[in-house]
Amino acid sequence: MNYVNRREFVIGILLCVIIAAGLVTAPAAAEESQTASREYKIKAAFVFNFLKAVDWPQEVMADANQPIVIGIVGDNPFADAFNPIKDKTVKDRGIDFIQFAGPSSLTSKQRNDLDNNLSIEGFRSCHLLFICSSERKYQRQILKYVNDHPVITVGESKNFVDDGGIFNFLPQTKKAGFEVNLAAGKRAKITISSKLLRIAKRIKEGQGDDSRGK
Amino acid sequence: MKLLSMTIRDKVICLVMFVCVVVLLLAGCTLYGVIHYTFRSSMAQQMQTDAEVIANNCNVALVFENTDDVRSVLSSLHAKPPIVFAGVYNQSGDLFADYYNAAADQRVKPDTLKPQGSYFGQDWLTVYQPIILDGETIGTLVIRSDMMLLRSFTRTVLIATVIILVVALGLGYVLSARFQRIISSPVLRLAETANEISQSKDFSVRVQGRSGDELGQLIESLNRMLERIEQRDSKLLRANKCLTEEVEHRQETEQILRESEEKLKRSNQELQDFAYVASHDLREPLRKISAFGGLLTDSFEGKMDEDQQENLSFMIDGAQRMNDMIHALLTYSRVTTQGGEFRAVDLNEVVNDIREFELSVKIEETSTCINVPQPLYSVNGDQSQMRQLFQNLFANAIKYQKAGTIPEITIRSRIVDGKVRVEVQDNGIGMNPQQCKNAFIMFKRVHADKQYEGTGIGLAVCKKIVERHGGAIGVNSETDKGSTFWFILAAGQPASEQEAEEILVAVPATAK
Repeated sequence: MNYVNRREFVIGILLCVIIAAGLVTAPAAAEESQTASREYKIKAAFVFNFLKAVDWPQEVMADANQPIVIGIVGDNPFADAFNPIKDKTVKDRGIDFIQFAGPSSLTSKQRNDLDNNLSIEGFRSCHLLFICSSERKYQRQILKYVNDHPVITVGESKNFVDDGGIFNFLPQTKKAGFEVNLAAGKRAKITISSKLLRIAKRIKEGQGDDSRGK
Repeated sequence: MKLLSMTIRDKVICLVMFVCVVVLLLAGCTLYGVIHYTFRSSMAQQMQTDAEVIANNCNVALVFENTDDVRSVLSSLHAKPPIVFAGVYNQSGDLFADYYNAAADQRVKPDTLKPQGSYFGQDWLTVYQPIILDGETIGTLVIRSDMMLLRSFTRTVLIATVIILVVALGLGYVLSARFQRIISSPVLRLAETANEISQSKDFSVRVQGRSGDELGQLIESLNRMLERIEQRDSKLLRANKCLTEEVEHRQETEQILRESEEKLKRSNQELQDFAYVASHDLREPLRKISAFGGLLTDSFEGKMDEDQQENLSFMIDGAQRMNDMIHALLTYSRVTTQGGEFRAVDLNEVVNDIREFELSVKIEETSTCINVPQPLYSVNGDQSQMRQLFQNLFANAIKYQKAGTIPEITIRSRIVDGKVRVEVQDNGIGMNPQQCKNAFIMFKRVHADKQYEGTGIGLAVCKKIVERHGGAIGVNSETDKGSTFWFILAAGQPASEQEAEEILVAVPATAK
């Protein structure tokens, strides 16, 4: 064993000791800040699977080299949950992530003029827009901006579907369930696979409710 | 061997049945194989289609890990009772959702996952179908079907084949037993007729029946043959009858001939006996005449006048001539009655003996020259008669000469057609053709004048000797140019091989 290798070996052992010590001494803090919870891991996987089970209108997908863009509005709860799918491909395209500031991070003055203080064009250029629960209060406004554009909106708050969102994760029970607003999807010219609809917990069609009861 | 001794009827039936069995077995096996293969591949095809549909139907549910939905998709397989098991496995190969046929138990679950495809096992057909979503393989669908349907189908086909075989064999037997007559009945008729003909020898029988095939030709040619035999038979009968008649006729003729031959022989014998006895007995008085004539001449010596003396001498001379003639006649008759046995006779020896004994006096008197240019071939004959033959010929050659000529005799021999031809040439007075013709006839004297005395029997004896030997004799001659007497006799047995060779070698030499 030569000198360099021995040094690396020593460093490796030291690193291991430090990490082990950190894990033992402060597990709670590390979990909160660094790694995503199981719930968001599942949600990240669901988001990724939505991309597969949904079709955008032709004009959005015109350029084959353009990646699928996932926009996240508000305080990102996923942490590293998207790491497993970062390098995957969907419909032969790579995946890009864009973090947008939500209205909740704006000053009250700015909030009065959302049209000019939010990256509305950015929202509209996404294929999928995830609106975090931090923007629960402003989701109706945000959804209005992208209503008539081929953007899949995914949320995780109680009235998200009723406010005009397409997919909404239901509050965590045992497994992640979701509801779908078909009318919103139709308005956004998004085609949702019937297989996806089949496993949705609730489907909202038009103004009325049509619960699958699952 | 057993097959060979069967009747044609059984052979035809056996043949038809055998062909039936072979063809049916072949057809059955082929059909079975084709159907089995088609059924299997269509079954696999069907299963794969089902698998594809199901896999496509549950891919989203799988990624969303919705077991209920996947189960409900799988449970649609109720509609297909042969499918005993279906299972959806996730990417890491763990069973995600499964379906069991009501009748099936846990054992039908496959132990391991295999690459995409259909796998035929002992009891099941298993199809492995990857579950793909957006180009990514997210799991595997396994469908396992019971082969019960294939087995029952196989059984049905086998039973059907056996039934068809049995029915076809039965039908084949009935039909072939019925239709074999087309072939066997003419043959049987043929055989029957042939048998009948060979037993009864009646060739007027004809085989009945007419058909255009080889059997018809056979019958026709047999009938033609019978016709020909019949014709020939009748011809033969006729010829036989003619022959019998002729034989009878001949036998009669032969009988007559034999009788007349017998008569002839008897009379010939009588004649010979008579000639012998007569000549023998005649000589006694003749001897007395000449003896007493001699005595008279002696006792009347000088007492008789010239005329008387001449008369007496005529008498004695006549008696002497008669004695000679009788002697010659005796000799002539003895040729046949007292002939010796035949054996090889050396003619050189014969010629020498005659020169030294029989004719030595005469030869010396006349200074006759006897030439033998080449050794003579030996002949098969009676030695003493050969001597007589040569003696007579030499005597003639010496006798018939112009006065003052020295007789010259040349003897030659050669082989002609395996026989010995001997020529005795002289330089005598010769004969004209008429004389040549009469030369061998008894008592026909060619030169009847006083100059040449003779009995007229010598050449007749020669002829008789040669004829007794089965040979031929003749003469070539011209007046005043000598005569050449020739005779042909069988060659004597050569004493040795060497001599035979000499004879053979001598042939071309003498032929020149």
